[in-house]
Amino acid sequence: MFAFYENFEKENIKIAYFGRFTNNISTMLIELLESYELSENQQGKFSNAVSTFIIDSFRNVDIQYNPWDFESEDFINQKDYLQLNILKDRIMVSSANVIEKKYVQLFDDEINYLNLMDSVESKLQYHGALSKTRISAGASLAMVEMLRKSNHTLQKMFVPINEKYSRMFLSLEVFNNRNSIVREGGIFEIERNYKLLTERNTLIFYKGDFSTESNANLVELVHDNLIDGNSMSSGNIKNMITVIEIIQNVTKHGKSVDGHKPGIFTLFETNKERFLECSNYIDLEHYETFKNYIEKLKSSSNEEIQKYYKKKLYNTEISELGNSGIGLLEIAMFTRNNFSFTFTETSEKEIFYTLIIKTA
Amino acid sequence: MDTIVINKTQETPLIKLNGDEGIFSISGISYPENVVAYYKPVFDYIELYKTAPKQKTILEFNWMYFNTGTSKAIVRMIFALKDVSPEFEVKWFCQDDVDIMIEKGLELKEMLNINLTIVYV
Repeated sequence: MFAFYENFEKENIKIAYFGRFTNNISTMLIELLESYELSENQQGKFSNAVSTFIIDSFRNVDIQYNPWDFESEDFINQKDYLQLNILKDRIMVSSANVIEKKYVQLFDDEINYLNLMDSVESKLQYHGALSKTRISAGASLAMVEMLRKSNHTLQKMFVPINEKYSRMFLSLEVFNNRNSIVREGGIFEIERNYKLLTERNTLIFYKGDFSTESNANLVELVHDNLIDGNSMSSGNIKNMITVIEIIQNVTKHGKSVDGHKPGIFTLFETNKERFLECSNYIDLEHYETFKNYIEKLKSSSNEEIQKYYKKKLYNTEISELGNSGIGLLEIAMFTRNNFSFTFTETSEKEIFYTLIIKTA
Repeated sequence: MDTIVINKTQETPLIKLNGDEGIFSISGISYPENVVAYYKPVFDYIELYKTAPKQKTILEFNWMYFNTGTSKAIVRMIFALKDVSPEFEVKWFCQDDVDIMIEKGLELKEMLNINLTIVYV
């Protein structure tokens, strides 16, 4: 997992999300993305451009043209993707979403046409004329808005999925300096990352901040992927409790980097079984104690774990930070000790920790 | 005593504390990062209630799900209230097909030796 994480880091991908897109998830992603602090000269452009991109591309384009059912057999295929790269002179926001094949040519033509236009006014005029006759007003305006924020071309790519659907990749770069040049081939990186995630049979993927500010959004983002409506099965409740515990473990015990708690969270499927995987850095000074604890837990029987859990629960002491001290015990009970972990020494001062848990 | 209502949020439950009726109700989702800070108003209210408790005190829980920090807060609430009134009951609302919530209720009943009723909704 560390190599996977490191590849994303090398590309300056600060946030990546792979999963279901709903209006609620779009809102949460905007909040997660905006929690990243940027240099002053990027901040204004950033928040406007990213919010516009997410709202327009996913609400107006994707949802409108994505009729697949979350519970359908094509569940994995219908996953969308969002990625934010933050570089010194620019930010790049990119997406992948499903559209019906019959719209591919329309989108392709329209983006080509808009990319050739010089002024915002002409783009808006074009939108006015086009929206009544071709693709929807919302989708058309979305394209114009994206370009207006960028002042540069919108990169695109269409990859067929099956007879009826294609995946549309979009990438927008927003610069500090108007003379900067769009990176050639940036769109291929998005497609490659998307492919990497699908090859791992990923159902949900998040790379980004796990700090207190991000916590509730992150949990709700997983909730919205796993659960439709208010009906909760026992399995889903166990999974949500597990998700909360592993996310809050990163928040409380993960190593801070530039004011954030970076980490990766994945739900993936292998041999028809689903696993939650979470990785983050921990300080070397806490490593030995934690390693001993988790190794002891792993070697314990179910009976021993239950006994220890009850003992700790009965003792109502909670640390000032709100640590219950029973999160991993509960996970071990839910999974009947079906979890694994790795520690990778990445430098003299930190360890990259990965926890993999079989879902209920 | 004034009734206290704390509205639910993305990560915290709806809380209704009615000292005049002796009924304390909590429902929804609970995973505040710091349960100690979040549930402090509840424990402060319980301390006040203890000065003039009712004949019967009822603690009602209707959870969707909660984190382990909240588990400890639940146990702490039960400890704080169980000997305050001559009669004490915990009503544990849950769906009859959600085994994990039934188990959690029964676990508390057994572990704390309390009058806990599972109420199917």
